[in-house]
Amino acid sequence: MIQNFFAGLYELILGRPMPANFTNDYREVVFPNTGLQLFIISLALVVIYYYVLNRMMSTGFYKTQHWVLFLVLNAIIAFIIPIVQVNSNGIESHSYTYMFAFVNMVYSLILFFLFSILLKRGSVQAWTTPMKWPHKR
Amino acid sequence: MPITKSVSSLYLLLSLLLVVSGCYKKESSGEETGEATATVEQKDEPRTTTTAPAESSKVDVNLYLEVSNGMKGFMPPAEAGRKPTEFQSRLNKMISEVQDGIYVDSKSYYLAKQDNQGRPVLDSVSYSTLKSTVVSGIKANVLGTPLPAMLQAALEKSVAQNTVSIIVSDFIHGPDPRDQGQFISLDSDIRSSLKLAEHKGLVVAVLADASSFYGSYYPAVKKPAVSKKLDGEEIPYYIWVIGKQQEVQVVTNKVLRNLPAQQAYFGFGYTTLPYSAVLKSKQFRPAGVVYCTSRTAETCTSVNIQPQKDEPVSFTIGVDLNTLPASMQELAYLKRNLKLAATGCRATIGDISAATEDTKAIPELAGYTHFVQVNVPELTANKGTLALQLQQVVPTWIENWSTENDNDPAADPKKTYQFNKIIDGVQALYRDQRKHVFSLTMDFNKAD
Repeated sequence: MIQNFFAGLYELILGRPMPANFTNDYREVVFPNTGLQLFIISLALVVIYYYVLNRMMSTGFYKTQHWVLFLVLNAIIAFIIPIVQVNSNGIESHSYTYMFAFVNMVYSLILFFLFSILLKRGSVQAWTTPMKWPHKR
Repeated sequence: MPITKSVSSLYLLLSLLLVVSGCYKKESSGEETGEATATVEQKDEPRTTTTAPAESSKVDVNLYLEVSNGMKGFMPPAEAGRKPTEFQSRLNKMISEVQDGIYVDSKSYYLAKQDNQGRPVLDSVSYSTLKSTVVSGIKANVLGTPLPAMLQAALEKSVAQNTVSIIVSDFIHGPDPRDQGQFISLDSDIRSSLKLAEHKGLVVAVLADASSFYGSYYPAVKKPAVSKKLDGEEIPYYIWVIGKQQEVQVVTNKVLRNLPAQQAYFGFGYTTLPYSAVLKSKQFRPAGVVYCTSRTAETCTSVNIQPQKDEPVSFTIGVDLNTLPASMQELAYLKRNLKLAATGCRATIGDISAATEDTKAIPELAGYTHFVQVNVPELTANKGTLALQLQQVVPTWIENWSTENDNDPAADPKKTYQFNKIIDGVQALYRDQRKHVFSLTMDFNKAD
């Protein structure tokens, strides 16, 4: 289920894995691993930003530029994970690998933004970062 | 103060990140170990199936040497200044290997003759008698060889004793003068004489070679000359090995060794040869959309493929033909006789190559002796099979070694009278049993 979900998520944009002889490695290992890590790390960074840095502690990291810093940090991690996954599973490198890393990075931006919108309300200092919408207080 | 706070929180952040990423590495490495155990299980499977035909096992051998007058020329008495004939050298090596080699357990030697009524007689002799017969010639006066009867008697004896038969003869049919009709029915007579082999599931290996011949030569066709004095002309002789497949292979590979180039095998079949699609090797890079159905399988016998119009599928199957007779392992033989039977797709065999030092150095490829490229340009169904099959064929040398008139061996050397008919008779034993020496099936599904 999870395998199919993530394989579908990536192949939607990337198409069939290449080189084709590693299709199974991508579908059964690399895609689900990368996808799960993408979700969990994005969520963790959002939680850290809103709940640790801007609720439990008062660090002064509430400005949009700090939020962007975390967004970029998440994107960098999201670019590295696929490459590490591909290499550690003994898959031949291919331009597909880097397209995959790029797509994963784009997904990380979207996810980070989504999680922010969903969770920022619970933050004390940063509930208006990156913007006030959709909450009113 | 706020600066130190932010620094400490940064540390916290970094350590959290480490924890998070550490967790996930663990998860993936756990998955890898799971994969490893799966491959170990898979690894054991083909090993156990392939160790079954252990070639090192010993065999019991019955050796029959035909000693009719027609064989005398192969074994001329030793004379100073004359080299032994090829027949003598080969037989000497062979019988000493049978007698003293480590692959033969119990052994019996027989001189095959016929009595006055034309019935075959198998004289049990000691090793030294046999040896002296080979090196210093045949003393007895034995006319003719009733070939089918001799084969039948030898085979019956071996089957009763549960041994492998090695039959050495010139295979020139010399029926009793009162029963010349046997010439007409030679093939069916041979078949009848060897029926026991069919019933007991035995196989026949036929090895042919020619040797210089000194003395009286008795052709099957008696016109114009009933016999001819030869002085070193080449006359063919044959070594037939009959027994259980595995035991025959011990004899041909370990006891006879240096086999002559002319070999023919009848009834041989293999059900458990190791094979696998080779998909992830740099040596045999596949083309098009093809991948193993199972990610973790050590040997891949099912693939997913999806040929595109501009990108046909092509991949390589590694096979281990190590247990086959040597002549069947030859690349030229395989290129002629290996066929691909496909259902659900159009497919052809591409290049066939033998293992090289390069492939032997790679653990995943080291187990395979040959690599067969398979091209699949088009699927006609969503699933199907690709079967690599080695045809049972009669080697071409048999026709070349056969003649309808063996009266003048000097003009027409290395030919035996109606040898093709004799082989037809042998072949008839196995006609319905096995169509293929082996058939290796690769399943495929259309890739999604």
